[in-house]
Amino acid sequence: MTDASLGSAPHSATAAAAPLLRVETVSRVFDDGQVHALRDVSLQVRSGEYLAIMGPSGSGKSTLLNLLGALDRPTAGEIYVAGEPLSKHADLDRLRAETIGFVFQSFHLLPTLTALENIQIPMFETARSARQRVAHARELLEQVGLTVRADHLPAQLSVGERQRVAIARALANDPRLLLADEPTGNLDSAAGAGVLDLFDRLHRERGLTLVVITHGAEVAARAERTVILRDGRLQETPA
Amino acid sequence: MRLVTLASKNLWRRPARTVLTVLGLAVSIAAVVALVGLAESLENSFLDLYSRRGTDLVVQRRGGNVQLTKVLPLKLAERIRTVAGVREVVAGLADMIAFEKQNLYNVLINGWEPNSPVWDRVHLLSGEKLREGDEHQILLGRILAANLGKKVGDEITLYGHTFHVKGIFESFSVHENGAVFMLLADLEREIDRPGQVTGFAVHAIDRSPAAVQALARKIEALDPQISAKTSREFVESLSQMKLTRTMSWLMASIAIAIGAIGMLNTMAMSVFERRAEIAALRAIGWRQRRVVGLILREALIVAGFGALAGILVGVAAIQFLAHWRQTSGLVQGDISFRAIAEGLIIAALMAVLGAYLPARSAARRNIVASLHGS
Repeated sequence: MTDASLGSAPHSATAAAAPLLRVETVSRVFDDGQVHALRDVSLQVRSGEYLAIMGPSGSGKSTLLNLLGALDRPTAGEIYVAGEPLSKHADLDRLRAETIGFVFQSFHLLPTLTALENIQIPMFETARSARQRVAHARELLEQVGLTVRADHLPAQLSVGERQRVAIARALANDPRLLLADEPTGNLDSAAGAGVLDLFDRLHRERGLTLVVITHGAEVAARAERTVILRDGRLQETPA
Repeated sequence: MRLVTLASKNLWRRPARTVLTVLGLAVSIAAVVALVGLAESLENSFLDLYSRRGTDLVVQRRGGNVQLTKVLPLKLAERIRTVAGVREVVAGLADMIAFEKQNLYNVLINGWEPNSPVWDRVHLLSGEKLREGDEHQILLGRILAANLGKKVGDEITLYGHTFHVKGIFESFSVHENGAVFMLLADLEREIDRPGQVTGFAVHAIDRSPAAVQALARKIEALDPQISAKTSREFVESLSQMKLTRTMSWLMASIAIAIGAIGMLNTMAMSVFERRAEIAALRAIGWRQRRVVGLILREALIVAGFGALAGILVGVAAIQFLAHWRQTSGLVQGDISFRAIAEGLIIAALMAVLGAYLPARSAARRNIVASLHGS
């Protein structure tokens, strides 16, 4: 990891106090009502907050993350991002491109592209020129400590390095919210710790709002707050 | 990095499949360029034969589909010459023969009057021109002479009679370079059409389109059984041209359909294999149209290489036919810009048609389900 600054300035104190995400009595039902993945879940995430969502397999964690990331729609209830209801949002693609960054458990890097090129992918949805995309991708690579790996394909990187490239890609459009689905699930403990250190820095230095899905207590321990999902219900919201 | 770079890299993930798809498209495009180009080349070279000789109107018996069986009396030439606006009338009798031993079919034989201007409009490479009274003597076009292995002074059997090669000529027209010229009287006798010709080539004094059309109506007024058509109308009305054009497009269409299905299959496979990647692109904010644009670019790159290879193969095929003994007297070695443009346009259309449905399907697929590989 480098000591490079993590780019954007932290969000203002006013912004930090406002809820960035508000989940109101959300339910998600699959298979024509046979599977209730989420039942009347309500939750708020403040701007700049670092939240962990824990729960056993099948508890609805990933379903909730997909709903928060506007990848799926709730069967009932409403989700607000920056005060705006997602059900009435005119352009969810734009919201995902500009406001939300995703980090997946299995990285989902494009195997034919180098690290530098993978990071540029989200920037195609911005007005940045090709040259600006490259320059910004280099900055992000530096921030995640992979400058020397710029021209390596994902297959030539360690799994920890791949996840750091994926995080750099998630930051490409300077999102307000970073959603991570089991970000250390495929990593060994050292690589996992490196990713969590990076999350800490992003949260601290950029004031980024982080929502991390995890099985692991050591991951949740890094968060400011942890909520637990069990059988689709939010069981516990420790302070 | 640009989107086209990503598209190119995606194609090289499966080089064998990409190359095979390019080859499949190349065959389709080669078929279009070669077949359609051949038909156009045939039509253009035939049109050239008339227009470069200054022929404004072709006068023939009205009706009937087979040109060679149409006949008019030779004496009609005198009546046509009396029509105001006519500068020159060239009478000609035509027939087709085959030299089966040499595998030469559809060899054109023209019979011209001894004083016909046609004799002066070909370049004599060896020997002498035919003159009145030169019975059983012929001139051979350069390509036909080469294909038959004949030179001045040699004998050839035509219609069961022996003819002497008096000269070998070269014309601007590939049809004439593969033809036999003889005196009209000789041909009339050999095919038993005394005093008859296949038609007349009429040269007008005023060559403006309106004047030529007016002249055509005046000539047609001489006899209700004759039609006078401009060179282009005449060539386009030839049943052989229509048949060649139709058959070319029919065969090319089959090749296009096979190529488009190949493209559809390739792109459908490609997007199915990459559904999780495409879902990840959608998750990080790529719009549906950008995903569609990426996949269309991939298809257009394949189509571009396919078109390039196909055009090269098509041009090579036409060159081969132009030099192949059996077709060298019929096919010119050139290929029209139009045939190449048609090949390019069809390749682009095949790419768009073959890739659009898989691309749209990939872009609209459920993101969450695709991310998990289902």
